[in-house]
Parts: sequence; C-alpha cells; structure tokens
Amino acid sequence: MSYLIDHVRDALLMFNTGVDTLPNYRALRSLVDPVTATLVPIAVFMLAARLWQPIGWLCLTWWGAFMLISVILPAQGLSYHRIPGALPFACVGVGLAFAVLMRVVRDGFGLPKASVAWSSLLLAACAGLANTHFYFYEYSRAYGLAQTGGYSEIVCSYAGRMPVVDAAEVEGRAYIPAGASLFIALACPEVKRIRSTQPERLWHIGDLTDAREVALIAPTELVEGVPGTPEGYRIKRHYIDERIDYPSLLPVSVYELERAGD
Amino acid sequence: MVDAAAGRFLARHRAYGAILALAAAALGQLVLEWSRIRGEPADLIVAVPLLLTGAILAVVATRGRDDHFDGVCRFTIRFPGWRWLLALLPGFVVLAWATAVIGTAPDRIVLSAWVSGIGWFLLVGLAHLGVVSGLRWRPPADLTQVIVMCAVLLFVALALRTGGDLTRLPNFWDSDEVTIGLSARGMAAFPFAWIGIFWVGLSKLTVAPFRAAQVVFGDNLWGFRMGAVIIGTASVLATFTFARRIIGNLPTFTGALLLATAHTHLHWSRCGHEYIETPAAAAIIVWLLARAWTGGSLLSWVGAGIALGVGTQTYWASYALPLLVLVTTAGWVFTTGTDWKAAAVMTAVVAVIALFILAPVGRIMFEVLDLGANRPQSLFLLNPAEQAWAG
Repeated sequence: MSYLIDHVRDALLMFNTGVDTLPNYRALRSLVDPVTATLVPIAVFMLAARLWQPIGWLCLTWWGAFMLISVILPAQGLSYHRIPGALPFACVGVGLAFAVLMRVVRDGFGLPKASVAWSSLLLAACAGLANTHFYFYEYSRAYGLAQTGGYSEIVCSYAGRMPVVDAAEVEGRAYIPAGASLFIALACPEVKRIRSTQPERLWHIGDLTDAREVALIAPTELVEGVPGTPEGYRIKRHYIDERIDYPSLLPVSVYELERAGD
Repeated sequence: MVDAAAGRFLARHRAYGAILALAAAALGQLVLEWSRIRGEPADLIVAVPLLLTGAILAVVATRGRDDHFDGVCRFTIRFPGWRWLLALLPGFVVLAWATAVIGTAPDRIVLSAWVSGIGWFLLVGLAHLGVVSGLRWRPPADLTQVIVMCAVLLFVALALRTGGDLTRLPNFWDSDEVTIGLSARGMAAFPFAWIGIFWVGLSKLTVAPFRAAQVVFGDNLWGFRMGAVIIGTASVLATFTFARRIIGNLPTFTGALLLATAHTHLHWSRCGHEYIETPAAAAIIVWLLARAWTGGSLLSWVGAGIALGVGTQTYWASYALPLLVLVTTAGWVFTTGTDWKAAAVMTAVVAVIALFILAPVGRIMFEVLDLGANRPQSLFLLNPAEQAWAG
C-alpha cells in the first residue's frame, strides 16, 4: 500500500521533482524545467477555476487523462516516455496562467500594455535557456559516449571505405551489449562487416577476407589477451579509441590493414 | 469617483496577490531545486505548501476576471446538412469492405481500399468547402501575427531538434529504438503491408513516419531520427494552432514556445521512438476539432475523424484519444452553449469515421487479442507481478 501511495505522490509531483527511471532517457531532472515547473501548480488551479470554460475543460481532461493512463496506472516507477501526450496541454495551461497573472499585475500597477507580451517572452526565454543548458550541456555529458553508439560510430566510419573485421562479440564474451549488431545495421547498413568470433584466430585476417584493405576493430582488452600481428596483411595505421565510457570504459583498438605483397 | 477608486484599490491588491502567488511558487520550486542540487531527497514538507499557496493565491487574484486575448474564435457549429453527411456513405462502404477482406485479399488491395475510403471523406469535405465558401480563403485579421509566431516556433523547434549532432545526442540507443528503426526499414520489402500489427502488438502505421523519413533523408541513423524531429515539430505547431483559437495568440505562443523547448519533448523528438507520436496526434486532432467547433466546414470534421482514426494507432497512450474526444465534446457543449444536437451529430460523424478507419487493424488486433492486450495488462499498476517487482 505504501508503494501505491508513494507512486501516486511521485506521479503527481513529477512536473516539479523526480527523475526518469527508465534507460531510454534517464534524465536526472523533473519532467519540465524549473521555470515551467514553478507555474505548473498555478496552471492546474487556474484551469480548474476555469473548468467551465472550453480551455479549462480541454486542458484539464486531456492533461489529467494522460497523467492517469501514462504515469499513474502503469507501474515500473516513473518514466517520461509515455507522458509526452500531456505536455501540449500542460504548456498551454502554463502559458495562459502566466499571461493572465501578468495582466493582473499590469492592470494593478498601470504598466504598459506590451508588458504582458514581453514578460511572457521573457518567461519562455528563461525556460528555453534552462532546457537547452540541461539537455545540450548537462545531459549530453552525464552519461559519456555509450558502448552501443560509440562502437557503431567507429565501425560506421569505415562504411564505403573498406570492409571491417569486427571482433566485439567473440566466443565466450560480448564486449559490447547484446544486439549491438542490430545497432550497427541500423546506423550504417552499407558497411561491409565480417565477424571474427574466435579470439585465438583474431590475427588470421586472411581466413576471413581477401580484400586489399581492411579494418580490424577489436576491444583493446581482447587484443592484449592474444598478442600478435595480422597474417597476410601489414599495418598501415593503428590507434586506440578511448572515447567510449558508458556504462564502463571500453578502449577499442583499430588497425587499418593492407594486403601484404600488393 | 468612489467606484473608480475602489476599482483601482481592487486592481492593486489583485496585482499584489499575483506577485505573491508567483513568489510563493518560485520559492517552493527553489526548495525542490536546492534539494536536487545537494543530492538530498526532495523537501516536500516545505515545498508543497509553498507551491499550493502560490496556486491558491493565483486563483484568488484572478477570480472573476474575464481575460480575452487577441485571436480567440467564437464557438459555433455550422451543421453541413444531411445531404452532405449522406455523401460520406461510399467511404464507409469501402472501408467496411477493406475490413471484411483483410487477411484474405492481397495487401495492396486492402491498402488501396483503405486509402480510397479516407480519400473519399476528404473529397466530400473539399466539395462542401467549395460549395459553401467557393474555395475562397478569407485571411484572418491577425494573419501577419500568426505567420510570424508560426515562423518563430518552426525555427526554434527545428533548431533545437536538429542542433548538435542528431546521431550523437542522445548518444545511446535503446533496443526499442533499434526495433522501430529496423521495422521501418523492413517495410521497404512489404510496401503495401501497412495495415496490421508488429512487435508487441502496435499498429504498423506507428513506423510509417520513420519509414518516410528514411526514404526522404536517407536510410541511416540521422535520416531515421529525422522522423521524430518532423513529428515533434508538427506537434508544436499544431499546439499553437489549436490553442490560439480558444485562448488567443499570446498565451498560446508562450505555451507553444515552452513546449518547443521542453527537454522531455525535445528528447523524444530526437529519438526514433514512437512516443512523440501521441502529443502530435493529440494536438492535430484538437486543432481540427477546434476549427470545426469555431465555424469550420465539413472538411474540419472529416479531418478530425481521419486524424482520430490514424492517431489512435500511434502508441498505447493514444488509445485514450477517442474517449477524450467524446469527453471534450460533452464538456464543450456545456461550456459554450452551442447547439447540442448539431454537436452530437457531428461528433458521431467524427467517431464513426475514426471507427471505420480503425476497423481493419482493429480486426487484426482482435484476432490476436492476447498479444495486443498483453503489454498494457502487464504494465498495470495493480498487476501482481508488477507489485512483486516493486517490492
């Protein structure tokens, strides 16, 4: 029972506080920025006071329904992926609440007519700054470069240039999350990828391809476990890509090879 | 003289109330932000009363005021007449036939019938518009203002959704995103198999915008995610267009700007997930409904029905859309004082159009009900398995 109470409380407060618990966003932030969040309770109450006007009825029923079916009724903790349907109505409610309050202030203090428009724009600008700072600065740095995206990026950089011998998933161990092959297939279907699955035969490139140029891409940990040199190929360029750091560090060794004797 | 002084006194005190409301709410949110920054549990004991105080003060400060902003349209229903409604019948017949033969007839035949049925509705709507207004467009008085606002929204929404590197922010891929992407690509092999279900029981139309984006922008991660960018941007514009008819341009423009920059909306507009389709469908449906309720022609009603039929298929959360349209109609009849008979008939038209558009995929879903119902049931809060998971 206490779980249910906590769940409903967290759901009702998710515009103002909380985090996204599912891995498809993982925002360590309330559903909306602090500027908008400040006005959310005000908007709810002001819309409720206007329930018998078209906008009050529309926004409260749609906002409330999406909250109910998308957040309150499903379990699995709070997640932000089912709730976007409520956002248009919440934002309209906030915009209306602020404009009406600013009109009250304008009328009370005899401010210029345009003060409502300018203060509304200022509000939107502040919210926009808070959101862009969070998303493009804090959030983009919070989790580093993920193994799925990072490894795909390395492999895809060879699309149209040369085939890739990929040793990320070998017998007994997958160095990148399961299904990474699908990620790469989505990102760059045109890349010619050859799987190397036997660690002890990592350097036997000639068994896998006879391409004139080929890139061997393998986790550095694997490479260090089976030291050697590529058979039938000479190394044109070698580097270790150390950018991948989420959910754990994954240095990747890249060898650009050229067939020996050509 | 006394009345004027009393009016000024009241206005001044309302203004103080409004400022206090904003201050209390800001203080409450500040407490929550402070807890977050310090990594402590949210201090709800202090924050919630402050937020509630702000909300109550705001209601008190604005009570009894009748605030109207430029751009509001008057609620009035133009009943198109029974002849025009009867003209819609062939569309229903074709859609009913598509429903009857789905699963047995070739995909291209079913899809052709389905599209033809929708096309017939639009044709009748356009014909009605032509007869009623001679297809002459009367620009609204605030056209320039609306165009400028739409242009600003379009720029902000698109800039934020494509800014940075779309392939690296978000810089991880969820397996669901990959499923959507590969399913969209897979549709190339079955170009006519758009009516049906896939994966966990979602309608195949869910991936249609992403497939279109792959075709237009390229079959890679960037092209795929552009599908979400377009849908997210459309939802911002649709939000502006629906709300401005009801509350006017200024508060709607502010609200749409907040939506365009909201980080959650932004995130789902940059991922190849289907979640962003729900707000887009909701906003487009309400836009067409708002048009219809503010003197729109049969085309607006038909458009609302089509949007409802297609939009309901987008995601689990969208399954609530038909019920919400009915609830909205009921509320608007009472709150606007419009002709309830006309409202009832035209809402029935919207609902029946949506129902017939949904019928083919609905039949397939019904035949594999376990698959379609499994996901919502398994996620339900009171499901014993979920409670065990939650401890």
